[in-house]
Amino acid sequence: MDASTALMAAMGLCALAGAGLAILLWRHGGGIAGTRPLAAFLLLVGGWSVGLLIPGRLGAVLMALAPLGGALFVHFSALMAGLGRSVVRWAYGVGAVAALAAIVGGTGSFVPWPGTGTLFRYEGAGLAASATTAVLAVAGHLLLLRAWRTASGVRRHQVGLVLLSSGLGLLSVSGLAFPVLGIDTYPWPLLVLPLYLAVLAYGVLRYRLMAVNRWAVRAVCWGLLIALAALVSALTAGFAAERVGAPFIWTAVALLSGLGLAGPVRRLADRIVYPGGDVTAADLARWRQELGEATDETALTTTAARLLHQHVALTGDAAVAEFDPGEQDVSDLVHAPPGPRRVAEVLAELVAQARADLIKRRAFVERQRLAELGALAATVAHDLRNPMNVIAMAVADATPETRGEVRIQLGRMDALVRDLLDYAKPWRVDPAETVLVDALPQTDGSVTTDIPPGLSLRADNARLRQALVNLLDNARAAGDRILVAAERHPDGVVIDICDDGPGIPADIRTSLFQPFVSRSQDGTGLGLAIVAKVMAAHGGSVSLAERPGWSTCFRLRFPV
Amino acid sequence: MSKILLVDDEPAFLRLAAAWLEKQGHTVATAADGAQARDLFQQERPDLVLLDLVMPPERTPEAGLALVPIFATVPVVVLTAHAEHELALRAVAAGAWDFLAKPVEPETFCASSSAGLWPSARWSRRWQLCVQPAYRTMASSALALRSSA
Repeated sequence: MDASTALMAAMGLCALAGAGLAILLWRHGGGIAGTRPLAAFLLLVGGWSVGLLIPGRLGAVLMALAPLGGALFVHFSALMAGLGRSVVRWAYGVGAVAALAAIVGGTGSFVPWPGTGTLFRYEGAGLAASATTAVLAVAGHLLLLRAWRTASGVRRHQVGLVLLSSGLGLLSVSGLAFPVLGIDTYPWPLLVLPLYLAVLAYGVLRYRLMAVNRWAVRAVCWGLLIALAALVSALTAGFAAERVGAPFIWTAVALLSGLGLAGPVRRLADRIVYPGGDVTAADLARWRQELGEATDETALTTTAARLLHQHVALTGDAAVAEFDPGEQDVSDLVHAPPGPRRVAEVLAELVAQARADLIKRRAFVERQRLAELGALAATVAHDLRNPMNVIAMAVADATPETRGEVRIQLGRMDALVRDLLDYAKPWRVDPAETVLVDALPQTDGSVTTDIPPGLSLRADNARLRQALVNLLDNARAAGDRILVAAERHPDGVVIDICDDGPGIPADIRTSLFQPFVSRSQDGTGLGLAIVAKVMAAHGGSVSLAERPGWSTCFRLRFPV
Repeated sequence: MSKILLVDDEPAFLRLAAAWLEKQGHTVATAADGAQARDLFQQERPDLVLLDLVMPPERTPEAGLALVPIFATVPVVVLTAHAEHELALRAVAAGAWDFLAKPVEPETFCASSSAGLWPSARWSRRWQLCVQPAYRTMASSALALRSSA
């Protein structure tokens, strides 16, 4: 590749990079001050570098736009520094006037140049325009310096990176000073221009868009490996060249050393891009273990926060103050540098796994508890019914009064045993389309029904009836009048069972559907708990509701 | 009168129920577990078996259900504290004549036993072996009636 192609390639790359990075910034830099003018600036530099390649009128016009680039840079710097609009207006005014003057008065000319063919030389009004650009650039840098001094934390890092990239920018455009100053040398600084744009955009996005850091790792990796390969080929150039196969051997050496060094280089790039972001396998194992020991959600969060702080403090950067490891989307954290943020991302993934495990474990324990409860209830039921059976047989010869009393009491005990089994033993519902009026138990004159004719719902017939019987028994025990009202809603069927009794005491309203919380004179204390279980098995719910004119209302909701 | 084999692991129930049945004029043999019941069934050749499903040593309804077909040449009335629909169906499928849930009212107990002792019961037993699905439906509807009463 000869020198003129190198410049052409660099400028072409610069134009592409300018356009690409401008789009990236425009799309992802939304929350950062100064993103929009920076995107325009990148586009303009891209255009400018294209201008350098087209000798003629169009190229000259593109070169004349330089002061506008300076003005955009001032705008961007002012926004970063948080300064007012007057500076910006002045900058745009001066930049526009200088650019216009250069376009009208002639920017300069393309002169023959060693190594490149031609090179642009600012002359006359163009020279004034480039001087204006320089002044604007200095102003922009002063603003940035000021921002750097006053800012702190991540923002300071960000401005620092932008300033660093500006150094690269100044270095590269100094190549155009050669023709003006009459230095007869190849304008090599111009070759750095694409790198300037990339570093500038990276400086802005590093703390905002985590993806650019991954690209940066790759770029650093490739850069280092290519530099290494170049070094190897430079060192070995001409060495034993007369031997057959020498190029092959040296290429193989360069390749193999590149392969061997890829791992360490990758780690080095990681360290450069994510300072403080190292996570070793031992760390991972320890974190996984400690997170696995958490027994509930709160403990999990606490453990995660402790681990993160420990790690970040160990690696010497304590900038992470506000971090919630429960947050899955850590890329929203703008207050932390990339290193700790990556640690947080890794940790968040572990926390998510630990949480899933926790939920699984809890479900298992709950299933086990239910199975134990069911087995317990079955045993209690069996062991109670046998003595009850003996009692029933023992009074076979007693007086009718005694037998009647025993029968009533045995009936109460049996009701309790049955409810206990219904509450504790696991069972499934078998829903089918059921006409509500058919499922409603026989009612007497005290019950008013308000059910649309033919209203049907998907429910297990026997269990629906059980729920209704339980609620109606309660209502009958509490009040004189009862209302059963049902309605179809878009999201299911709602059934209200209301009475005019004394109402539910405030202190048990929240725990009403727990076993043995409320009980009527003859009730077992399990009726409402069974209703809740029936409703849950249907995917519906039971709750207290308000209805004018009624003191207590239970509302059953069946899903569609 | 008829001879009844009463099988239950509860001594008090055996004593009281035997007394009650004898008072109704039946002859009663009692057994406290499955093995004893099988021996007595061979010796006594009863007309009806009243069988508790959960007994030592296994103490599972399955072990009790396994006894039903052995005695099913005569009507077997199953007695259990595990009053479950599914268990009743399995008892009938195994060849039981009736299924009584504990606690049993003495009258119910007697009525079921007497019905089992009618000559027609033996015919029903054979009938049941031929047309079991229909019988199963009958038994389950009878059970539903009882539980809703």
